[in-house]
Amino acid sequence: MNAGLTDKRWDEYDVLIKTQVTDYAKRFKALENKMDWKIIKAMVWTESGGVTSPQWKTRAMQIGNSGDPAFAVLKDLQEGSDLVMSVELKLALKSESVEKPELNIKAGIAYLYTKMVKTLFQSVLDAKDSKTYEYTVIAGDSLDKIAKKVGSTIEELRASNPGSTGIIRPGQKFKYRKAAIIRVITGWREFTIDTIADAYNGGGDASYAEKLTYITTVLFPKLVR
Amino acid sequence: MLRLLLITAAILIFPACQTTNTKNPPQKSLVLGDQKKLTQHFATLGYTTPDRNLVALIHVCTLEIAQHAYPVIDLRELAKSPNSPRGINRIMVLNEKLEKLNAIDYTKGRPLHCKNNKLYLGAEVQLSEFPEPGNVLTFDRNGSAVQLEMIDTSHWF
Repeated sequence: MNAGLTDKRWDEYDVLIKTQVTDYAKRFKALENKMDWKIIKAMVWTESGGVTSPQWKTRAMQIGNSGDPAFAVLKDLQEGSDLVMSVELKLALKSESVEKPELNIKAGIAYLYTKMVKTLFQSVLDAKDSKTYEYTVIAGDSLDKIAKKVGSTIEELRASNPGSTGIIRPGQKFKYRKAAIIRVITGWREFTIDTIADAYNGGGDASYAEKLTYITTVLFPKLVR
Repeated sequence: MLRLLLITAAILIFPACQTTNTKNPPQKSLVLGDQKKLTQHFATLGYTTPDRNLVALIHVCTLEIAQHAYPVIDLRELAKSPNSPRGINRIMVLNEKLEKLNAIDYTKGRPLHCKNNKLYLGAEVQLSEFPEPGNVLTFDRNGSAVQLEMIDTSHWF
């Protein structure tokens, strides 16, 4: 890593990283001034091994390594990554090679934000259908069965029919709106070197946070350009 | 001294024995205490990934819910990479046939101890099913986590 002190090539992805961090802050107001782009620069150094390593020009953030879950999480829109990624990135991951270092870095940043976002599965009303429907209970029904049958959720049935969700009987009527259980963003973890290291590295490298700290606090202030 | 050695050996060889007095103990309890067989069993069922390095596969304890046993496994793998490999750590809750009922990813909150239907963790975890992070998980008879609480370790057990 010390080789990066005097070699300008180690700054190759600075503009890309800054642009990405700015873009996330624009799309998610809660992220304004939360993320220091230099921590991601330090991650690229750590993940790739630097400009002399083959990874620098391929999988700079190690997305797409064999056996690594990150690429599948992003490509299959799992773990809330569908909420975090831009439309452009989702398309790029389907159509372009993640071996390109620029896309690899974008994917790596998206994976980091996916791991930093807090999400919950919640009942959300169908925004395109504001109509209130009514369902008449038949023998063998349960709230769960009704919700599935009518395209709503147990939470919505309870909310629209307060006091009538204990024992249900045939003939009983339930009002409801169309709803679904979907993942929603509820907040973000605090962006510190420790939380970032945990989120991205998953505890695989016990020294990961120390490496990021060393690069950002010891090396970066001494860069000669 | 001999007695102490025997007790130590028993704990090392049969960790599953500490776990349950249920009417239906795990049918493959010997597998739980045999690292090689447990590893083979997980590989056969596809619970481990050949492209990763398996670094830990430990039967930690057994949950006891409605007189059924649910072994808890701490599974840790490393993605193969030249620099700072990513860790993939999972708490696996199994049924009595040692099939996966639930898998919960963690970074630092490794499973430590079972008591009835509660699993105590080494650090907090954040799960998308629950609004707040916590260090004690409660499970139902399907092996699903139904509660995540933050309990000070001085109030454990």
